[in-house]
Amino acid sequence: MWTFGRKLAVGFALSFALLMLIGVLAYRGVDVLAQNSYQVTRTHAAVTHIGGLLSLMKDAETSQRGYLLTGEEGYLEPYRSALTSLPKLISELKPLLRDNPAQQARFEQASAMIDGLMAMHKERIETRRGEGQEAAIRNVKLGEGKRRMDELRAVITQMEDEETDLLRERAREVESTANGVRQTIVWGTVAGALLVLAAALTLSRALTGQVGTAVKHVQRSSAELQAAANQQAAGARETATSMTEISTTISELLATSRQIADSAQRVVGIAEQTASFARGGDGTLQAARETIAAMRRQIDLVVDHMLDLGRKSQQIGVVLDLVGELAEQTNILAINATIEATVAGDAGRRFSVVADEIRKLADRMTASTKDIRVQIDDVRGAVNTTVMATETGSKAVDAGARQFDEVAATFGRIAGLVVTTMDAAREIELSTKQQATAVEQLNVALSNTAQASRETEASSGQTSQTATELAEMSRDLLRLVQAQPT
Amino acid sequence: MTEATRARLRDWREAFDRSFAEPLRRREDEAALDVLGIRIAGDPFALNLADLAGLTPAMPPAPYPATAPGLLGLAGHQGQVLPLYDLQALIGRGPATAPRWWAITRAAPLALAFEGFDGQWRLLPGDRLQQSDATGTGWAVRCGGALRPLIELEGVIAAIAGGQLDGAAFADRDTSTTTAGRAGR
Repeated sequence: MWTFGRKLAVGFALSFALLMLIGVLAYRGVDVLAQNSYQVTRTHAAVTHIGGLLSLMKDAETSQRGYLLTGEEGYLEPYRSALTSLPKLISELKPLLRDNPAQQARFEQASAMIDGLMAMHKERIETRRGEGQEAAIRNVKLGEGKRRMDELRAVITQMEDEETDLLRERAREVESTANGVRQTIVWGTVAGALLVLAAALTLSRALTGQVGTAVKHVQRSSAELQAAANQQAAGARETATSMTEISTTISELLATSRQIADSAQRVVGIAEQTASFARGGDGTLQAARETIAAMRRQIDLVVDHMLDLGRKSQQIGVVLDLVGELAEQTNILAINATIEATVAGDAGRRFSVVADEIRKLADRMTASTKDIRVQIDDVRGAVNTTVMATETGSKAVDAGARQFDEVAATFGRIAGLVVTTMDAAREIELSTKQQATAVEQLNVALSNTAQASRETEASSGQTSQTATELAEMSRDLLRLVQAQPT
Repeated sequence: MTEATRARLRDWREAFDRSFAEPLRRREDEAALDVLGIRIAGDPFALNLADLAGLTPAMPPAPYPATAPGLLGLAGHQGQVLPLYDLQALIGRGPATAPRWWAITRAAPLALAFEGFDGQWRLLPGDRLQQSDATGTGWAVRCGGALRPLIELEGVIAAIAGGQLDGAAFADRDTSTTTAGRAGR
C-alpha cells in the first residue's frame, strides 16, 4: 500500500514533470519566437539598408547632375556624403545577407554596380571640372548612367522583394510558433489542473483515511504513552527513593569498610609486633637452648666427675681392703704375739702388753677401716644417687631441650603463621580499601542514578505533558482531517 | 673430718701415749684372761687364748684319707703338719660350710677350723661368768658388752683323742676340767 508521503511525492513529481514539460515547451516556443523575431529584425534591417543604398545612389546621382548642370561645389555635398556612407552601409548589409546565397549574389552584383556608378559619377564630375559642362553633358546624353541606374534599381528591387518574401515567411513561422506555445500553455494548464485535482482528491482521501487512522493510532499511543510516562514517573520516584535508601546503606557499608580497613591495619600492626616478638622469642629460645646445652654439658661434666669420684671411691675401697687386710694381719700377728707371750710366761708378759697395744691399734685400724668403708659406701651411694639423679636431670634436660626445640619449632610455626596472618591482613586491608573505593564509586554511581531517576521522573512528567499535548494535537489533526471529532 | 672422729683420734693418741706412760700392772695382768672371740654357725663363742699356740687364716687343707669325724685334712703351721678338725662339728653343730680361720691348740698338735674371728679381748676376772647353757663349757665371758660361751679346748682335744665326737656326749662333759675353769678357780 502506498503511503501518504509516497502518494504526496508521486503527485508532486507528476505535477513537477508536467510543469517542467510545459516550461520546456514554452521555453522552446519563446526561443523559436525570439529567433524568428531576430530574423525579422535582421530582414527589416536588410530592407532598410537596401533602401538606404538606393537612396544614397539617388542622392549621389542627383548631386552629380546638379554639379554637372551648375558646376557649383555645393551640389556635390550629397555625393560626398554618399561616397562616405556607402562603404559603411555595404559593410553592414553584407552580414545581414550572409544566410541567403541568392541575396548574397545579388548583393555582390549590386555592389559592383554601385562601384561602377560611383566611378562613373566621379569620372563625370572630373570631366565637368576639367572639360566643362559640355563634355559632361555629352557623356550624360550617352545614357550610360541611366542604364546603369536602372539595372541597379532592378537588382535592388529584387533584393527588396526577396526580403519581403522572407518577412512574410517568417511572419507565418512566428504565427505557427505562437499558436504552438498557446496550445502548449492551454493544454498544459488544463492537464496540470486535472492532475492537481486528481492529486488533491487522492491525497484528501489518503489524508482522511490513512492519516486519520494514523492520527487515531497516535491518539491511542499518546494515551498509552501518557500512562507509561506516568508509570515511569512513579517508577522513577520509587527508584530515586530506593537509590537514596541504597545510598544511605552504602554509606553505612562504606563506613563499615573503613572500620574493617582500620581494623585490618591494626591487625597488621599487631601481627608485625607479634612477628617481632616471635623473632625475639626465637632468639630467647635459642639462648635458652644454648643455656640448656651448656647445662647438659655441665651435667655431663658432673656425671663424669661423679663417675670418676665413684671410681676413686672404689680405688679407696681397694686401698681400704688392703689396709683392712693389713689390720687383720696385724691383729693376727698381735694375737699370735700375745699367744707367744703367754707361752713365754713372765718373760713374755711385757711383750704381751706391747702385743696387746699392737692388737688394740689393729682393732682401731679395723674399726677405722670399717668406718671408712661405711663412709665410702655412703659416698658411693651418694655418688650413685647423684649420678642417677644427674642422669634423671640429664634426661629431664634432654626432654626440656626437646620441648624447647618443639617450642622453638612452634614459635617458628607461630612466626610463619603470624607472617601469613600479616600478609592476609594486608590483603584484607588492601581489598577492603579497594572495596571502599568501589563502594564510593558505587555510591557516586547510585547518586548519579538517583539524579538520573529524578531527571527521568521530570522527563516522564514532561513526556506525560507532551503525550497530553500530542493527544490534543492528534484530536485537532483528526478534526482537521476528518472535519468531525471522533 | 668430723669432731667425733677428731675426738676419737685424740682418745686413741692419748691411750697410745698412756700405754707408755703408765707402769706395768702386774697383778691385774696376772689375773687377766685373754680370750679370742670367734663365730661358729653365726653364733658368738670365745676361746681361751692360753689354750692356743697360734692363730692363722685358713688355707686349703691337704686332703687326708681318713674317716675320723670332723677331720678336714692336714694343715701346715710353722713347719709342722697338723690334723685339721672342724670345730663346729666338734661342738656338735654340724659341719661348717666355710671355715676361714685355724686355731692351733697348745695342748695337742692339731688345728681347729672355724668360720669367724671377731677379735681378742683381755678380760678382768669379773667378766668371766658361770653359765649353764647348752654350749657345754659352763662358762661365758663378757666381751664388748655381750656374753660369749667359752669353749673348753681341753675337752675337745680329749674327745678327739678318745674318738668321742658325739655332740651330746661332748655337751655332757664336766666343764670343771677346762683350763678356763681351772684358771677361774
